Amino acid sequence: VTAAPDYCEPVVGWRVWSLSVADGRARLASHVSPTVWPTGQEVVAACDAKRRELRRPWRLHPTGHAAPAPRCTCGVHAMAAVGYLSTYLPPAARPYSWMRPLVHNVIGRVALWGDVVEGSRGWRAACAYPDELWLPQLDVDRREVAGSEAFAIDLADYGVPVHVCDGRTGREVIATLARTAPARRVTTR
Amino acid sequence: VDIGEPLRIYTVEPVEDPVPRREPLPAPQPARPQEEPDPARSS
Repeated sequence: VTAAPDYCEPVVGWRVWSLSVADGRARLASHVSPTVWPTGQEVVAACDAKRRELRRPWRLHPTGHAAPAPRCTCGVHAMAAVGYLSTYLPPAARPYSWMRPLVHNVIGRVALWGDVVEGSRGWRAACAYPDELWLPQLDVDRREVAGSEAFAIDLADYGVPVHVCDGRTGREVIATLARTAPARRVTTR
Repeated sequence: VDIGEPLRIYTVEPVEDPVPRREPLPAPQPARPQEEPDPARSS
C-alpha cells in the first residue's frame, strides 16, 4: 500500500536557466550544476551534497538521501514569483562558466512534482520539466544575442511554448512578466 | 537559489503527464527484396 499523494496537479514555479549548446542544439542548463535539461524527459533531482565524518572532518561522503531532503538544499529549485528571479541573473555577460560555454539566459515557468519541499519563496522538487519559456533578445549589456531565433527553434524541442522577447534584456522580461503574471501564492493549509 | 524557510513537505502525483513526450517512431519496416523478373513472363 502506498501513501496517497497530497496533490494531483504539478506545482508551477519560475526559474532562470542558462542556454547551453549540447550536440549542436541549444538546451536549457542549470546555472549552478552541470545538469543539461533533456527534451521529452523530466529532470530527476539527486543530492550531490557531501557530509563530513564527525571524527575525521576532512573526509567527505555523499549524503545518500533522496532529493529533496528537508534539511538540505538539494532538489530542482523554482521560485514562487517571477520577480524573485532578477537576483539570479548575472550582472554581466559571462561567455563561459567553469563547466561549459554559456550562450544566454532563459526565463521560464517550470512544472514540479514528486516530493516537494515548500519554502517561503519557492520550492525544491524531485522532478521537473519546463512549462513555458521566454528568451530575451538582448544580453545584459543590451547587445543583441546572435541567433536568438535559431535558439528558440531549438528550444521548441521541449514541446512547450517559447517566446522570443524582442528588444528586451532578461531583467526587462522579468519586469514585464512580473506586471502581467500573477504571483502564485505558496500554498497554505 | 534561496527558496526561503522550509514550511512543509508534500507529494505531488500529476494526473496528466507534465512532459510532452514524443511519440515513439514507428519501427522500421524490413526492406522488401526486389522481385527478380520472371524469365517466363519477360518473353
